Amino acid sequence: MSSELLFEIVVLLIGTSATSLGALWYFQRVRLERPPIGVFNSRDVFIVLTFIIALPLLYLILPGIVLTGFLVLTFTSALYVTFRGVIPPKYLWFLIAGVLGLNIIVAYTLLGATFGLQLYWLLNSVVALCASIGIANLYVQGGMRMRNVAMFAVLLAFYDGIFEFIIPITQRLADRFEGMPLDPSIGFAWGGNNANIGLGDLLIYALFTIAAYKGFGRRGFTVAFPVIIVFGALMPSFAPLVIQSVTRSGIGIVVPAQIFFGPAALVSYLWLARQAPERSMREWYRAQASARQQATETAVGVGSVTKVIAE
Amino acid sequence: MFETAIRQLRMAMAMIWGRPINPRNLELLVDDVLKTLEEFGEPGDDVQQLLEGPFADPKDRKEFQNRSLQLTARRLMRVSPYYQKLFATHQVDPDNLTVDDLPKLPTTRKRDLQADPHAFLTKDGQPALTTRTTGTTGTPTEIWISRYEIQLWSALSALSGLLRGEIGPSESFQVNISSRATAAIQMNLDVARLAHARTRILGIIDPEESLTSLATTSDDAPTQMSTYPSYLARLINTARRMGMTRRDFHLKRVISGGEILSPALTQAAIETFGVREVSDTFGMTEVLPVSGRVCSHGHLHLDLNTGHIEVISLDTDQPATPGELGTLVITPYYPYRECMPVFRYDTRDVVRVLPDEPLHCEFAASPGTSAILGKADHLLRLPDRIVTPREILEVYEALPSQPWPARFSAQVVEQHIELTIPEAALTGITRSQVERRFTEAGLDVRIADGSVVSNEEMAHMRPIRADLLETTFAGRK
Repeated sequence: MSSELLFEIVVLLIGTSATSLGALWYFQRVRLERPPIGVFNSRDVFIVLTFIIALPLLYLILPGIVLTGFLVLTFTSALYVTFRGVIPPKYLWFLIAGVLGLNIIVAYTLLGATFGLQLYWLLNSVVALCASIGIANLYVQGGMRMRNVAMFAVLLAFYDGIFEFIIPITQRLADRFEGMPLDPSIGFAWGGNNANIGLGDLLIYALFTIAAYKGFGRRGFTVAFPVIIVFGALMPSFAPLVIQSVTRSGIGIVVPAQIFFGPAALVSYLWLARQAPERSMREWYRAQASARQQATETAVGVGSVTKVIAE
Repeated sequence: MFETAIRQLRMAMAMIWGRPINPRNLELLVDDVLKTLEEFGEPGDDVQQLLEGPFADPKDRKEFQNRSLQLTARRLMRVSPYYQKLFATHQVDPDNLTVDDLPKLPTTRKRDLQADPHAFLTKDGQPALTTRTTGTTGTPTEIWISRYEIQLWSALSALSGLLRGEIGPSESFQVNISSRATAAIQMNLDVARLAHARTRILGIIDPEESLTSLATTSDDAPTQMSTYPSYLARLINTARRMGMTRRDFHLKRVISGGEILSPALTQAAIETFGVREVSDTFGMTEVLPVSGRVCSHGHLHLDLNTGHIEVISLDTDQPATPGELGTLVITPYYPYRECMPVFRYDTRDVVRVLPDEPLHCEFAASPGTSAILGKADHLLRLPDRIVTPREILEVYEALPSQPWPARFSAQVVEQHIELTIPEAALTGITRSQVERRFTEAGLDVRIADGSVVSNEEMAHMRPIRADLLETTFAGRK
């Protein structure tokens, strides 16, 4: 196994695991505000998909400075959503401005040095990780179900296939972001190797993890997480060994990960849905409340026993 | 979620630009609320703000009111023959009309509507349904409503009911109001349809028949009932006579309106039907869709989103001051009212203006008045004070004889009030004891020798809405 492949596997495993587990941790602890009316539904998936198709086209034609402006706006909104309920607004705005500003400065001044490149990836990764966790939670806490996520993943599989092999925009897009501030991906550079995984993929994995957990409980997570690791991280890492067209003679590898993950996500959903009906947010709240009550009763019970023993 | 946001945006834009609100868009929003409730079990954050509108801040409120009044007046100037003439006479400039200018304009009264109803029909209105007032104060007034209005009002009502958790797919409504109140009935049907609830429109039928329906043991047993206080009283009496108790009913809520609801009757309804809540509401055919509800502190809160509310002094037509009695004057805003709109309609319903201090009730975000105290023509003017019908009714209905539905006649004789009551009111209580009850409530009320009349005679003297009895073959048996 080449060091390049090994490095890519490590980066993808860390990226996908951190995003999935981070999203789940956040989902279990933070309640995002939601509008008085509205549930995320299948039509919303198409709307999001429209943006996903349209934005890269825009990114390709925009001048660098405008593209950076766009990314600043996107990440500011995403980070604000993520941390609004966690950090007081007066600190939050400074924090967002600081992280994004530092990212831009590093991208423009330190990329020549190895340390600079690593710092650049570290900052990018933190921003992309937080953004994907927040947005995934916004959608799932807004009513997006695993059914919607599976459908979304399948549509993205088609998108990835088309824009990788028929109209090769994905590769051009990867080139476009290289060295730009706020590259929307988690990645790292080490020993001459450079690997990263895009925000779109990370978002899908975060969505898939928490939608599975919300809809089907612990069983949902135990199905979703291995599927993400295998089909979202390992298979795309090994893909260049089989699919030659994703390797571009010495200038990098761009793997359309959703081609592997989309069908697997659909099959996982169908399998889980056959075992039990998917829970709504209301049912999830109830299950949480009941678990909390049981925990309290157990604690009270234990407390009483301890007291009796002490007496 | 994105679609819902677009629908809300479309509705907001229509309101800001003063264009008709697309009722279909609103119905789809109702569907969105149903889906939201199905997914989350409750609406999202800031729902109160959505329901109450921009009324907590007096400055925002005034700005909204000025804009809405100008919009309404501009349209009336264009399409309403009656108001074209009235505004021209009083040199009203709709573009610069403000809340402060309103007292300079005359109010519209029921007699104006009755004198020339066609003058109130707008040139571009498309009348579809006529509804008649069902009050007990004289000749009914006929109001025309367009298809747009009925769709819009129902969707707005369904939207607010769902968001407040008052209606929903698990609810079953029994409607015991006069079948002549066609707009209210149509709205009840439409609201239930939109909210996926069940409805039984029964009308003012024999109370035993209504109770049989209420006591259904099947899954569709009524969980909510809309009726008038006087008919509610009849139902309570009949249920007690038939030995029915709270265990026979599945009701959670009674929605009462159209007449004064006393605390004694409310308590009796809670005990007899086992309901958690008896909602006291305000609605009037002439000023639809403006409506109101009484909070737990006894204030009437009218919906300021759909109309402008004034309380004018009984004698001067100027705004009533805190603590003063006045009549409610209501202007339904465009685009909520389009076919036969009224401007500054004097309902003749008397309220007291609340002291100028913050409210602490559940509807405190929107201003309130006292509950309706009676009709202006029924006030009793003593030399030192004015006695309202509510004051008398509340003491009367709290008598141990439980003389429901309340029928009495009151008039001022010299410096006291002379009450005429039916014989039934004196069951288990003497005349002097009744008088003492009123004295304890601060009212100098006397019942003269000839002022106790037969129940039948009293029924002729004092009509109530429960008298609008409709027969059925089952009822005749």
